[in-house]
Amino acid sequence: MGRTGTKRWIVFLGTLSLSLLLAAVAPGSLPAEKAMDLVERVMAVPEWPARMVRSLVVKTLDLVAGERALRERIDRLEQENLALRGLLQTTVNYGSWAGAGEGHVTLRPPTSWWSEIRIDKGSREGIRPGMAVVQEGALVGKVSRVESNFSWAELVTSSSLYIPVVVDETRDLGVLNGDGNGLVFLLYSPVEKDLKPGMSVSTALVSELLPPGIPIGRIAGAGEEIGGYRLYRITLKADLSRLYKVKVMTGGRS
Amino acid sequence: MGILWFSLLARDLLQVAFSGTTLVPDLTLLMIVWLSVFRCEEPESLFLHAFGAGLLWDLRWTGVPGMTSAAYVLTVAVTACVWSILPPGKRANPVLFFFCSSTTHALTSVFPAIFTSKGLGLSSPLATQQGMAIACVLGLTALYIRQRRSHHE
Repeated sequence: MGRTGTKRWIVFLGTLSLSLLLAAVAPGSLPAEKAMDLVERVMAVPEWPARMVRSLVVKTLDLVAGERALRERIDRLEQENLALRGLLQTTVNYGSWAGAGEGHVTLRPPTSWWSEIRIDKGSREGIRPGMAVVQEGALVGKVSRVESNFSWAELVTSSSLYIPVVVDETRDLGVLNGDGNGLVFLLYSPVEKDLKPGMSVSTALVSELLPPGIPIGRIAGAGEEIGGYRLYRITLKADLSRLYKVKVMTGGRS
Repeated sequence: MGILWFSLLARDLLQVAFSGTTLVPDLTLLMIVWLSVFRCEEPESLFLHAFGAGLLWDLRWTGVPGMTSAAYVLTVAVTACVWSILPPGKRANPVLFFFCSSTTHALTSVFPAIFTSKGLGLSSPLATQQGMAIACVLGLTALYIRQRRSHHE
Protein backbone atom coordinates (compact mmCIF):
# COMPACT_ATOMS: atom_id res chain seq x y z
CA MET A 1 0.00 0.00 0.00
CA GLY A 2 1.53 3.33 -1.08
CA ARG A 3 1.66 6.59 0.82
CA THR A 4 -1.44 7.87 -1.00
CA GLY A 5 -3.32 4.71 -0.07
CA THR A 6 -2.40 5.09 3.59
CA LYS A 7 -3.47 8.75 3.60
CA ARG A 8 -6.78 7.75 2.00
CA TRP A 9 -7.43 5.16 4.74
CA ILE A 10 -6.53 7.64 7.47
CA VAL A 11 -8.88 10.31 6.11
CA PHE A 12 -11.68 7.78 5.56
CA LEU A 13 -11.41 6.13 8.97
CA GLY A 14 -10.92 9.51 10.67
CA THR A 15 -14.04 11.11 9.21
CA LEU A 16 -16.11 7.95 9.69
CA SER A 17 -15.07 7.51 13.33
CA LEU A 18 -15.71 11.18 14.05
CA SER A 19 -19.18 10.88 12.50
CA LEU A 20 -20.04 7.78 14.51
CA LEU A 21 -18.64 9.30 17.68
CA LEU A 22 -20.76 12.42 17.16
CA ALA A 23 -23.84 10.31 16.41
CA ALA A 24 -23.31 8.40 19.65
CA VAL A 25 -22.48 11.30 21.93
CA ALA A 26 -23.97 14.51 20.52
CA PRO A 27 -27.77 13.90 20.36
CA GLY A 28 -29.50 15.57 23.28
CA SER A 29 -26.34 17.30 24.53
CA LEU A 30 -26.29 21.02 25.20
CA PRO A 31 -23.43 21.86 22.75
CA ALA A 32 -25.27 19.98 19.98
CA GLU A 33 -28.48 21.88 20.67
CA LYS A 34 -26.54 25.18 20.68
CA ALA A 35 -24.92 24.21 17.37
CA MET A 36 -28.33 23.29 15.89
CA ASP A 37 -29.78 26.62 17.01
CA LEU A 38 -26.79 28.44 15.52
CA VAL A 39 -27.17 26.64 12.18
CA GLU A 40 -30.90 27.46 12.23
CA ARG A 41 -30.06 31.15 12.74
CA VAL A 42 -27.37 31.22 10.04
CA MET A 43 -29.42 29.26 7.50
CA ALA A 44 -32.43 31.51 8.06
CA VAL A 45 -30.73 34.09 5.79
CA PRO A 46 -30.26 31.98 2.61
CA GLU A 47 -33.52 30.15 3.28
CA TRP A 48 -35.53 33.35 3.33
CA PRO A 49 -36.44 33.24 -0.41
CA ALA A 50 -37.63 29.62 -0.09
CA ARG A 51 -39.78 30.53 2.90
CA MET A 52 -41.24 33.44 0.97
CA VAL A 53 -42.00 31.22 -2.03
CA ARG A 54 -43.66 28.62 0.18
CA SER A 55 -45.68 31.23 1.99
CA LEU A 56 -46.71 32.83 -1.32
CA VAL A 57 -47.78 29.51 -2.82
CA VAL A 58 -49.73 28.56 0.29
CA LYS A 59 -51.48 31.93 0.39
CA THR A 60 -52.35 31.76 -3.31
CA LEU A 61 -53.75 28.26 -2.97
CA ASP A 62 -55.74 29.32 0.06
CA LEU A 63 -57.21 32.23 -1.82
CA VAL A 64 -58.09 30.14 -4.87
CA ALA A 65 -59.79 27.45 -2.85
CA GLY A 66 -61.49 29.87 -0.51
CA GLU A 67 -59.86 27.94 2.29
CA ARG A 68 -58.63 31.07 3.98
CA ALA A 69 -62.11 32.26 4.81
CA LEU A 70 -63.00 28.83 6.12
CA ARG A 71 -59.90 28.70 8.31
CA GLU A 72 -60.68 32.09 9.82
CA ARG A 73 -64.19 30.92 10.52
CA ILE A 74 -62.89 27.74 12.15
CA ASP A 75 -60.46 29.82 14.23
CA ARG A 76 -63.28 32.06 15.39
CA LEU A 77 -65.42 29.05 16.25
CA GLU A 78 -62.51 27.43 18.09
CA GLN A 79 -61.97 30.56 20.16
CA GLU A 80 -65.67 30.79 20.88
CA ASN A 81 -65.69 27.13 21.83
CA LEU A 82 -62.74 27.65 24.14
CA ALA A 83 -64.36 30.66 25.78
CA LEU A 84 -67.58 28.67 26.34
CA ARG A 85 -65.70 25.72 27.75
CA GLY A 86 -63.82 28.09 30.03
CA LEU A 87 -67.08 29.64 31.23
CA LEU A 88 -68.49 26.21 31.98
CA GLN A 89 -65.46 25.31 34.03
CA THR A 90 -64.71 28.49 35.93
CA THR A 91 -66.07 31.92 36.66
CA VAL A 92 -62.63 33.53 36.42
CA ASN A 93 -62.46 35.96 33.51
CA TYR A 94 -59.60 34.93 31.27
CA GLY A 95 -60.11 37.68 28.77
CA SER A 96 -59.67 36.89 25.09
CA TRP A 97 -57.43 34.19 23.67
CA ALA A 98 -57.36 36.18 20.52
CA GLY A 99 -53.96 35.28 19.18
CA ALA A 100 -53.16 31.94 17.61
CA GLY A 101 -49.83 32.19 15.78
CA GLU A 102 -49.33 29.43 13.25
CA GLY A 103 -45.84 27.99 13.12
CA HIS A 104 -44.00 25.24 11.29
CA VAL A 105 -42.17 22.48 13.10
CA THR A 106 -38.53 22.94 12.10
CA LEU A 107 -36.92 20.24 14.23
CA ARG A 108 -38.03 17.13 16.07
CA PRO A 109 -34.91 15.38 17.41
CA PRO A 110 -35.27 11.58 17.03
CA THR A 111 -33.68 11.06 20.44
CA SER A 112 -36.45 13.05 22.09
CA TRP A 113 -39.13 12.28 19.49
CA TRP A 114 -41.99 12.15 22.00
CA SER A 115 -40.66 14.98 24.17
CA GLU A 116 -40.05 18.17 22.23
CA ILE A 117 -40.32 20.06 18.96
CA ARG A 118 -38.90 23.31 17.67
CA ILE A 119 -41.25 25.88 16.09
CA ASP A 120 -40.24 28.69 13.75
CA LYS A 121 -41.99 31.34 15.85
CA GLY A 122 -40.42 33.06 18.85
CA SER A 123 -40.63 35.98 21.21
CA ARG A 124 -40.88 38.37 18.24
CA GLU A 125 -44.29 36.88 17.51
CA GLY A 126 -45.36 37.26 21.14
CA ILE A 127 -44.69 33.67 22.21
CA ARG A 128 -43.89 33.08 25.86
CA PRO A 129 -43.03 29.97 27.90
CA GLY A 130 -46.08 28.10 29.13
CA MET A 131 -48.33 28.94 26.19
CA ALA A 132 -50.44 26.16 24.76
CA VAL A 133 -49.44 24.56 21.44
CA VAL A 134 -52.35 23.08 19.49
CA GLN A 135 -52.88 21.16 16.26
CA GLU A 136 -56.30 21.68 14.71
CA GLY A 137 -57.68 22.75 18.07
CA ALA A 138 -56.27 19.82 20.05
CA LEU A 139 -53.52 20.25 22.63
CA VAL A 140 -50.08 19.09 21.49
CA GLY A 141 -47.91 20.53 24.25
CA LYS A 142 -46.66 23.62 26.01
CA VAL A 143 -43.98 26.14 25.04
CA SER A 144 -40.92 25.45 27.18
CA ARG A 145 -38.16 27.74 25.85
CA VAL A 146 -38.36 30.84 23.69
CA GLU A 147 -35.72 32.56 21.56
CA SER A 148 -36.23 35.62 19.41
CA ASN A 149 -37.25 33.79 16.23
CA PHE A 150 -37.95 30.24 17.33
CA SER A 151 -39.17 28.34 20.34
CA TRP A 152 -39.22 24.82 21.79
CA ALA A 153 -42.39 23.09 22.92
CA GLU A 154 -42.66 20.13 25.26
CA LEU A 155 -45.09 17.53 23.94
CA VAL A 156 -47.94 16.01 25.96
CA THR A 157 -46.24 12.63 25.49
CA SER A 158 -43.18 13.87 27.40
CA SER A 159 -42.62 12.14 30.71
CA SER A 160 -41.70 15.42 32.41
CA LEU A 161 -44.87 17.33 31.48
CA TYR A 162 -47.82 17.16 33.88
CA ILE A 163 -51.05 18.85 32.79
CA PRO A 164 -54.09 19.18 35.04
CA VAL A 165 -57.10 17.97 33.06
CA VAL A 166 -60.81 17.41 33.46
CA VAL A 167 -62.99 14.57 32.17
CA ASP A 168 -65.69 16.50 30.31
CA GLU A 169 -68.58 14.08 30.98
CA THR A 170 -68.04 13.69 34.74
CA ARG A 171 -66.05 16.88 35.58
CA ASP A 172 -63.52 14.69 37.42
CA LEU A 173 -60.11 16.26 37.68
CA GLY A 174 -56.82 14.46 37.10
CA VAL A 175 -53.33 14.93 35.79
CA LEU A 176 -52.15 14.00 32.32
CA ASN A 177 -48.65 12.62 31.87
CA GLY A 178 -46.80 10.90 29.04
CA ASP A 179 -44.36 8.02 29.26
CA GLY A 180 -41.86 9.51 26.83
CA ASN A 181 -42.59 6.73 24.35
CA GLY A 182 -45.79 7.98 22.74
CA LEU A 183 -48.31 6.91 25.38
CA VAL A 184 -50.32 9.27 27.58
CA PHE A 185 -52.03 8.46 30.87
CA LEU A 186 -54.57 10.07 33.16
CA LEU A 187 -53.26 9.94 36.73
CA TYR A 188 -54.81 10.38 40.18
CA SER A 189 -58.33 9.22 39.33
CA PRO A 190 -59.85 7.48 42.39
CA VAL A 191 -60.77 3.80 41.80
CA GLU A 192 -64.41 4.39 42.76
CA LYS A 193 -64.80 6.76 39.81
CA ASP A 194 -66.00 4.68 36.91
CA LEU A 195 -64.58 6.46 33.89
CA LYS A 196 -65.64 4.86 30.60
CA PRO A 197 -63.68 4.51 27.38
CA GLY A 198 -64.65 7.24 24.94
CA MET A 199 -65.05 9.98 27.55
CA SER A 200 -63.30 13.14 26.45
CA VAL A 201 -60.51 14.88 28.33
CA SER A 202 -59.60 18.57 28.14
CA THR A 203 -57.37 21.01 29.99
CA ALA A 204 -58.45 22.16 33.42
CA LEU A 205 -57.81 25.56 34.92
CA VAL A 206 -54.02 25.52 35.17
CA SER A 207 -52.22 28.76 34.61
CA GLU A 208 -52.65 32.17 33.14
CA LEU A 209 -51.13 30.98 29.87
CA LEU A 210 -52.83 27.60 29.39
CA PRO A 211 -56.56 28.14 28.96
CA PRO A 212 -59.09 25.62 30.23
CA GLY A 213 -61.16 23.55 27.84
CA ILE A 214 -58.62 22.71 25.15
CA PRO A 215 -59.53 19.22 23.89
CA ILE A 216 -56.78 16.65 24.48
CA GLY A 217 -58.24 13.24 23.67
CA ARG A 218 -60.42 10.40 24.84
CA ILE A 219 -60.11 7.68 27.45
CA ALA A 220 -58.97 4.51 25.70
CA GLY A 221 -59.21 2.14 28.63
CA ALA A 222 -58.53 1.59 32.31
CA GLY A 223 -55.11 0.50 33.42
CA GLU A 224 -53.56 -0.67 36.65
CA GLU A 225 -54.54 0.47 40.15
CA ILE A 226 -51.86 2.20 42.21
CA GLY A 227 -52.48 3.26 45.82
CA GLY A 228 -56.21 3.73 45.49
CA TYR A 229 -55.94 5.48 42.13
CA ARG A 230 -56.56 4.03 38.72
CA LEU A 231 -54.48 4.78 35.65
CA TYR A 232 -56.34 5.48 32.39
CA ARG A 233 -54.75 5.39 28.97
CA ILE A 234 -55.63 8.38 26.78
CA THR A 235 -55.89 8.41 22.99
CA LEU A 236 -54.76 11.84 21.79
CA LYS A 237 -56.94 13.89 19.48
CA ALA A 238 -53.86 15.48 17.88
CA ASP A 239 -51.89 13.35 15.43
CA LEU A 240 -48.33 13.58 16.75
CA SER A 241 -47.04 11.46 13.87
CA ARG A 242 -48.05 14.18 11.41
CA LEU A 243 -46.86 17.21 13.27
CA TYR A 244 -45.88 19.71 10.59
CA LYS A 245 -47.85 22.82 11.50
CA VAL A 246 -49.02 23.93 14.95
CA LYS A 247 -50.63 26.95 16.52
CA VAL A 248 -49.39 28.68 19.64
CA MET A 249 -52.17 30.22 21.70
CA THR A 250 -50.85 33.68 22.42
CA GLY A 251 -52.88 36.23 24.33
CA GLY A 252 -54.63 35.59 27.62
CA ARG A 253 -54.36 37.39 30.92
CA SER A 254 -51.18 39.47 31.13
CA MET B 1 -15.98 20.89 -4.83
CA GLY B 2 -18.16 23.97 -4.80
CA ILE B 3 -20.85 22.02 -6.63
CA LEU B 4 -21.21 19.74 -3.59
CA TRP B 5 -21.97 22.68 -1.30
CA PHE B 6 -24.24 24.19 -3.91
CA SER B 7 -26.21 20.93 -4.05
CA LEU B 8 -26.49 21.00 -0.24
CA LEU B 9 -27.88 24.54 -0.36
CA ALA B 10 -30.26 23.59 -3.18
CA ARG B 11 -31.54 20.61 -1.20
CA ASP B 12 -31.93 22.75 1.90
CA LEU B 13 -33.93 25.40 0.02
CA LEU B 14 -36.12 22.73 -1.59
CA GLN B 15 -36.68 21.09 1.79
CA VAL B 16 -37.77 24.44 3.24
CA ALA B 17 -40.05 25.07 0.25
CA PHE B 18 -41.63 21.60 0.40
CA SER B 19 -41.59 21.34 4.20
CA GLY B 20 -44.66 19.50 5.46
CA THR B 21 -45.61 18.16 2.04
CA THR B 22 -42.87 15.81 0.89
CA LEU B 23 -39.21 14.87 1.27
CA VAL B 24 -36.89 16.17 -1.42
CA PRO B 25 -34.35 13.84 -3.05
CA ASP B 26 -30.87 13.82 -1.57
CA LEU B 27 -29.16 15.96 -4.20
CA THR B 28 -26.00 16.15 -2.07
CA LEU B 29 -25.68 12.37 -2.04
CA LEU B 30 -26.12 12.19 -5.80
CA MET B 31 -23.43 14.85 -6.18
CA ILE B 32 -21.16 12.86 -3.86
CA VAL B 33 -21.64 9.78 -6.05
CA TRP B 34 -20.88 11.89 -9.14
CA LEU B 35 -17.70 13.35 -7.62
CA SER B 36 -16.58 9.96 -6.24
CA VAL B 37 -16.88 8.45 -9.70
CA PHE B 38 -14.71 11.14 -11.27
CA ARG B 39 -12.27 11.31 -8.36
CA CYS B 40 -12.12 7.63 -7.54
CA GLU B 41 -8.31 7.65 -7.67
CA GLU B 42 -7.86 10.49 -5.17
CA PRO B 43 -10.96 10.91 -2.97
CA GLU B 44 -9.16 12.25 0.14
CA SER B 45 -10.48 15.83 0.00
CA LEU B 46 -13.93 14.51 -0.92
CA PHE B 47 -14.10 12.62 2.41
CA LEU B 48 -13.65 15.89 4.29
CA HIS B 49 -16.19 17.79 2.22
CA ALA B 50 -18.72 14.94 2.45
CA PHE B 51 -18.25 14.86 6.23
CA GLY B 52 -18.74 18.63 6.49
CA ALA B 53 -21.82 18.65 4.26
CA GLY B 54 -23.38 15.74 6.16
CA LEU B 55 -22.72 17.35 9.52
CA LEU B 56 -24.28 20.62 8.41
CA TRP B 57 -27.38 18.75 7.19
CA ASP B 58 -27.62 16.88 10.47
CA LEU B 59 -27.40 20.09 12.49
CA ARG B 60 -30.07 21.72 10.34
CA TRP B 61 -32.56 18.89 9.82
CA THR B 62 -32.04 15.47 11.39
CA GLY B 63 -31.00 16.44 14.93
CA VAL B 64 -28.50 13.55 15.09
CA PRO B 65 -25.09 15.10 14.25
CA GLY B 66 -22.90 12.49 12.55
CA MET B 67 -25.64 10.30 11.06
CA THR B 68 -25.74 11.82 7.57
CA SER B 69 -22.01 12.57 7.57
CA ALA B 70 -21.28 8.88 8.29
CA ALA B 71 -23.56 7.88 5.40
CA TYR B 72 -21.87 10.37 3.07
CA VAL B 73 -18.33 9.27 4.05
CA LEU B 74 -19.29 5.62 3.52
CA THR B 75 -20.82 6.51 0.14
CA VAL B 76 -17.56 8.16 -0.97
CA ALA B 77 -15.53 5.16 0.20
CA VAL B 78 -17.73 2.50 -1.40
CA THR B 79 -18.31 4.35 -4.68
CA ALA B 80 -14.65 5.32 -5.12
CA CYS B 81 -13.56 1.77 -4.26
CA VAL B 82 -16.02 0.11 -6.64
CA TRP B 83 -15.23 2.54 -9.44
CA SER B 84 -11.46 2.19 -9.07
CA ILE B 85 -11.78 -1.62 -9.21
CA LEU B 86 -13.80 -1.47 -12.44
CA PRO B 87 -11.80 -1.82 -15.66
CA PRO B 88 -11.73 1.50 -17.63
CA GLY B 89 -14.00 0.04 -20.32
CA LYS B 90 -16.78 -0.74 -17.83
CA ARG B 91 -16.59 2.71 -16.20
CA ALA B 92 -18.07 4.30 -19.32
CA ASN B 93 -21.22 2.18 -18.95
CA PRO B 94 -24.07 4.57 -18.01
CA VAL B 95 -26.23 1.70 -16.74
CA LEU B 96 -23.66 1.01 -14.04
CA PHE B 97 -23.66 4.69 -13.06
CA PHE B 98 -27.46 4.77 -12.94
CA PHE B 99 -27.58 1.59 -10.88
CA CYS B 100 -24.91 2.83 -8.48
CA SER B 101 -26.56 6.26 -7.96
CA SER B 102 -30.11 5.00 -7.54
CA THR B 103 -29.12 2.13 -5.24
CA THR B 104 -27.05 4.42 -3.03
CA HIS B 105 -29.89 6.93 -2.82
CA ALA B 106 -32.49 4.27 -2.06
CA LEU B 107 -30.35 2.63 0.63
CA THR B 108 -29.43 5.84 2.44
CA SER B 109 -33.06 7.04 2.41
CA VAL B 110 -34.74 3.78 3.33
CA PHE B 111 -32.42 2.78 6.20
CA PRO B 112 -33.35 5.69 8.51
CA ALA B 113 -37.04 5.09 7.68
CA ILE B 114 -36.75 1.44 8.67
CA PHE B 115 -34.83 2.47 11.76
CA THR B 116 -37.60 4.81 12.91
CA SER B 117 -40.45 2.59 11.51
CA LYS B 118 -41.86 5.71 9.88
CA GLY B 119 -42.54 6.80 6.33
CA LEU B 120 -42.84 3.33 4.85
CA GLY B 121 -45.47 2.59 2.25
CA LEU B 122 -46.16 3.61 -1.32
CA SER B 123 -48.29 6.62 -0.45
CA SER B 124 -45.75 8.02 1.98
CA PRO B 125 -43.42 10.97 1.33
CA LEU B 126 -40.61 8.41 1.06
CA ALA B 127 -42.09 6.94 -2.14
CA THR B 128 -42.47 10.46 -3.58
CA GLN B 129 -38.87 11.20 -2.66
CA GLN B 130 -37.66 8.03 -4.39
CA GLY B 131 -39.70 8.88 -7.49
CA MET B 132 -38.17 12.34 -7.69
CA ALA B 133 -34.73 10.88 -7.02
CA ILE B 134 -35.07 8.50 -10.00
CA ALA B 135 -35.84 11.51 -12.22
CA CYS B 136 -32.74 13.29 -10.87
CA VAL B 137 -30.58 10.17 -11.38
CA LEU B 138 -31.82 9.89 -14.97
CA GLY B 139 -30.78 13.51 -15.58
CA LEU B 140 -27.42 12.87 -13.94
CA THR B 141 -26.91 9.75 -16.08
CA ALA B 142 -27.55 11.80 -19.20
CA LEU B 143 -24.91 14.25 -18.01
CA TYR B 144 -22.59 11.32 -17.31
CA ILE B 145 -22.97 10.00 -20.88
CA ARG B 146 -22.23 13.48 -22.23
CA GLN B 147 -19.23 13.89 -19.94
CA ARG B 148 -17.78 10.52 -20.93
CA ARG B 149 -18.37 11.23 -24.62
CA SER B 150 -16.62 14.61 -24.46
CA HIS B 151 -13.83 12.96 -22.45
CA HIS B 152 -13.25 10.44 -25.25
CA GLU B 153 -13.33 13.14 -27.95
